[in-house]
Parts: sequence; structure tokens; C-alpha cells
Amino acid sequence: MRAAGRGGVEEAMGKREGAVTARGGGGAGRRAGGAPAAAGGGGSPAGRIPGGGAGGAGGAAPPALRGLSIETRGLRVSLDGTEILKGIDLAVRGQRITGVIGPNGSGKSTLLKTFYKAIAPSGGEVLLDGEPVRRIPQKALARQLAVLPQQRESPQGLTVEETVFMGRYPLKGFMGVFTAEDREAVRDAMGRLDLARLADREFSSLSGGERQQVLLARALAQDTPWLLLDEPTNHLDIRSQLRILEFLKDLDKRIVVVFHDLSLASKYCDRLLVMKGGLIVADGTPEEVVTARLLSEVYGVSASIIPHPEVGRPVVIL
Amino acid sequence: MTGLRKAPLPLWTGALAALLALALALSFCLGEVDIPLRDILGLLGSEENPLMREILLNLRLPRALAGAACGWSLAVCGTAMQAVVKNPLADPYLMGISSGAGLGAATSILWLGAAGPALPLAAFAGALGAGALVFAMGAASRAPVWRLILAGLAMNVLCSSLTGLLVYYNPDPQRLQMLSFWLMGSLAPATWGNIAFPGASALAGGVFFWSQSRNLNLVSLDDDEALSLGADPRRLRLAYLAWAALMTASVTAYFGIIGFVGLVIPHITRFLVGFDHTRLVPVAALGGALFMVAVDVVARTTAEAEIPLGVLTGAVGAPFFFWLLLKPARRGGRE
Repeated sequence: MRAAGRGGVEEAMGKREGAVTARGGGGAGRRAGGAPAAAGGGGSPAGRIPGGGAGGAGGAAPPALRGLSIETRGLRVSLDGTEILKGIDLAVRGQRITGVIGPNGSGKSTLLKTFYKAIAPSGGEVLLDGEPVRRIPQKALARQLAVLPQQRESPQGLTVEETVFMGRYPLKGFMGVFTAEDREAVRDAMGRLDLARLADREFSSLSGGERQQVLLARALAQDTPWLLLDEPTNHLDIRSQLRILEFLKDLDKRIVVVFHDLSLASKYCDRLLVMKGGLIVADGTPEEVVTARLLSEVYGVSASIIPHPEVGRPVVIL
Repeated sequence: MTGLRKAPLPLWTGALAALLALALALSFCLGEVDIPLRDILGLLGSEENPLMREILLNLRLPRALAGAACGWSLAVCGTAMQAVVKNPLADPYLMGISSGAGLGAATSILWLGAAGPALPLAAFAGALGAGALVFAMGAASRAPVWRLILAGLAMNVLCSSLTGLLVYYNPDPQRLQMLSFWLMGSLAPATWGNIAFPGASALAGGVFFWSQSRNLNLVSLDDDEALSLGADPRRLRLAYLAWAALMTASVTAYFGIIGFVGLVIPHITRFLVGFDHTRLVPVAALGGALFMVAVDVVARTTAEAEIPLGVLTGAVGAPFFFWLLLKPARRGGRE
């Protein structure tokens, strides 16, 4: 299963160029960035084009492959009478790290939560590898999507090792005992994030950066093709931020990450989705999306954008 | 402390089961008439002393088992409730079960003067009625957990004031005394006939919650996190609340309100074996049973008249709890 998953990633990685070319040809990324209002409609080109480019390829893949695509169709979410998502059409496939950026309250976290059924849509649907998630049982879904949630309180007494072991729960049946394979997966995940020394520490006693590493290890132990992250660098110092992001960069998974920091998003993501007011208003490579114009239109701030001296990606200078 | 927390589960359950057996044996021997353990088999085997035999078999044995069932149920339900509402202050009576049972008992005792089969039935009905109302108001699948807590709090106040009203308008001192004994909890009414139901519910509930221990771990987390790990806390919570209400109501109906066990035992257990419910549930179950049987022995033997159980659990439990709260948090603290 693991090997098959990797194969899927590589194959889909190969198709990435195609998808990007198709989008470049349509000029959708730029168009959407320039005209947020026009991109608002449910079936606007901005949301669809990347998906359309690789759609046929995804459908032709053998069923054993995992981690091919996450799509949304006309996705709407209302909470307490307020419409948070107002019709999102997008397709994530091919790109290894997809970033979701946008101002506070634009619906980024909500979008991510619909992927793993933490929030039920009021309209439209989410498809995982072509299958509506509402038809996938929660446990089966947890074998496909691992999530690094926003940081909150954790229960008293819970240790680091117990936390990482929770990543194996979705792979276990009713009362299934942990096997050598489970223990190995946990040890491996903790080793990769250098957590062995913290194994018996209480999770609630850790620093913010250590907590994120533990949750990341839990997500690795979950052994999923997808990893969703909700503002993983919030409240972290710059060293911890880079540590997490550098780790993600080399990870053999499809990643969707919600970001606050535009420069970090631009440096580490292959594709950026920009949200505002419950809609996707721009979609493209960091170079296409992170522009002075976007900053003024989406965030209402004026700032300069310069290319990163080493990697060339746009950096925001305030 | 890490040593204790890492000790394998069979070691814990084995040691506690042995201690529980010892406590049961003590409870068997000690009472108004002390009987040395070595004489017990002889007494049971012969017809020489039918009175002693009667005391042993039909009073002390069911009473000891009733204590075990009460402690077991309250500790397991307390553990589950603390996980479900993600709050260390939760206990089995959170859903208004205790005051609902109290209201039922007050109705039965003060109006009907009944101590017979009507009393547990009325208390059970009151407990489940209060629990069901709180459940309906506070446990809707999207409702935040604090709504359940507040609904339970309000239900406790309502039932207590209704009970107060009944007491106020009932001048019969004998009945009032009976009610006040019931409200403080006692294992004295235990017979073979009335421990069957609480005993069965304790066993069934214990097995159920143990089988759910990984899900209990997950519902202790934020809902989003539990969902991302494959458990649907919104659905699980409803099942756990219903089971806990039923288990608590079935012991409370027969043996009254025994406070603090359901709050303290889960905390002590967590302190000893850690957070993981695969360990927490069985150790709390046995620990609760052990604690209750031991407290009942003390209640029966230290004073001339029997001390009410609820009074004693509170008197023993609270100071220990203070100690637990005040002692420096060394577990897992930063080195």
C-alpha cells in the first residue's frame, strides 16, 4: 500500500507540468488575481482550470493509487446563518504543496475542515479521489487525510508518545491491539522529528514548536497520502517555523496548508489559492499570485514585492 | 512516578483485584459481630449457627458486592464523563442524575412512606427523567459541551428545590429522617434481590467503556482533532452520556447519593496510570470498587451507629483531593 501510494505521488507529480501549462495557457491565475469580483461565481474559471487540466489523467489512474485529488464542487458552508464559503470550485492534484492564504475570516480554515468532515457543507460537495467524502466513513477518511490542527488545549496527563500512537488509531479495528508494525511506525515518526527524548513528557508541558513537531509525528504515524495543515507556523518563533516547513518540503505526501505569512507561503508552496469573503479570488503559482496588486485588493494594504535573492519567489516587504 | 505509569496493565489490575478480594474478605469478617476468617468456612459449612450464617450470606455478602458495584460504576462513569465533557470537574451526577433520584426518592418516601420496592423505582425514574431532560437540552449533536454542563446544573437546582418543597410541606419526622438517610447514601438496603440489576449494569457498562477506551481518548481531544483521527465525537458523546446515565441511575436508585467517588477516583487513577483510557477505565473500575468496599467497612465498624456512606466518602475524599491539587505538579513538568 505504501509503495503504491508513492507511485501515485510520482505519477501525479509528472502530470503537474501539464496542469501548470494548461493553466498558464488559459491565463486564469492572472485573470482571477486581477478581478476578484469576477472570480466569485460558483463556476468561475479561476477555480476550475487547474482541475480541468489534469482531470482526465486522474480518472485514468488505477484504483489502488491513493492521494490523487481533492476537489470541491460548488461548496457552500453556512454557520449560524452566516455564509462562510460561498461556492468554491477547486481541484488539488499534482501540486505537492498547495497553500491557502487570505485575510482573517476569509474561510480558509473552514475550507480545510470540510475536507475531513469537521464541517458539513450546506451546498455542493467535496470529492476525495473522485469519491464524495460524505460517503466515506470517518475512520476510512482518517486513513487518507492526516490533519495538523490549530493549537488548542490538550487533556491533562496525555504524553507525547501516547499522542503519536493516536495516529495509528484509524488503522486499527475495534479493540485491535497494537502490533510491532504500529510500534515501529510510531518510533520511526518520533525519530524523524527528533522526539524520542520527549516520549514521556506531558504534551501540555511542551513549547509551541515542540507541540507542532509532536502533532506532525502523529500525522506521519497515520501513514496517509494527504496531510492538511491549519496555520502550522502560528505562534512559533522563526526557527521553529523554518524547521516545520523545511520538514514539509521534503515530505513524501500531498500537502494542503493554510498560511498567514505570505512570504513563507510563497517560499514553500507550489501553488497558492487566495481566499477572500468565502471565495477563491486568485489561484496560481506564487509568482503569479503574490503581487502588490493582490495585496492591495485582498488585504487592503500597500507593500512592495521583491524576488527572494536565492529562490526567486516573491517576498513581501512591508 | 513514571515507573508506576509505565507498569503494565495486568500488574495494576492484578494488584487491585487482590486488594479488592482482601477488602471483600474484611467486609465479610467485620461488623457488629467480628468473625475470624478461619471460622467463616466452618460457619458456612454447618447448620450449627443459622443466625450467623444468615448474616454472612444474606447481609454481608450482598452488601459487600453492592459496595463494589457502586464504586465500580461511579468511577467508570466519572472517568467517561470527564472525557466526554473535556472537563476535570465532571462527575457521574453532572446530568442531574443525583438530584433527580433524590426527588424521586423524596416523592416516594414522603408521600407514600414506602421504603419497599417503590423507593428504588421512584428514584430510578427520577434519575432517568432528569438525565433525559438534560440530555435533550444539552446533548444535541452540534451543541457545545458547556450547554450540557449548564443544563445539568440547572436541573440539579430545580430538582433540589422541588425536593426542598416536598420536605417543607411534610411534617412527619420519621419520614424526613428516612429521606435524609437515603440522600446521604447507604449500602444497608443491599439484598441478593436488589444487587442483581446494579451489578449487571456495572459489569456491562464497565465492559462497554473499556471497549471504547481509544474512542474515549479521542473524545477528550478537540472535536476537530478527534474527527481527523477517525472518531465522530458528536455521535460517540450521545452514546456515552446515555450509558453513563443508565449506569449511575441504577446504582443511585438503590443505594442513594454517594458523592465524590465518581469525581476523585478518576483523578487519582489518572495520576497513577496516566491519561490512556485503555488503562484508566479498568484501573478506575477496580479502584472505585476497592475504595467503596473499604469505606463501607469503616462506616460499619468505627462508630456505634453506622456512618452514612456519602458523608464518609466526602470526608475521606476531599482532603485527599486537596493534597492532590496542592502538591507541586512534578509529572512531566519541564526539566
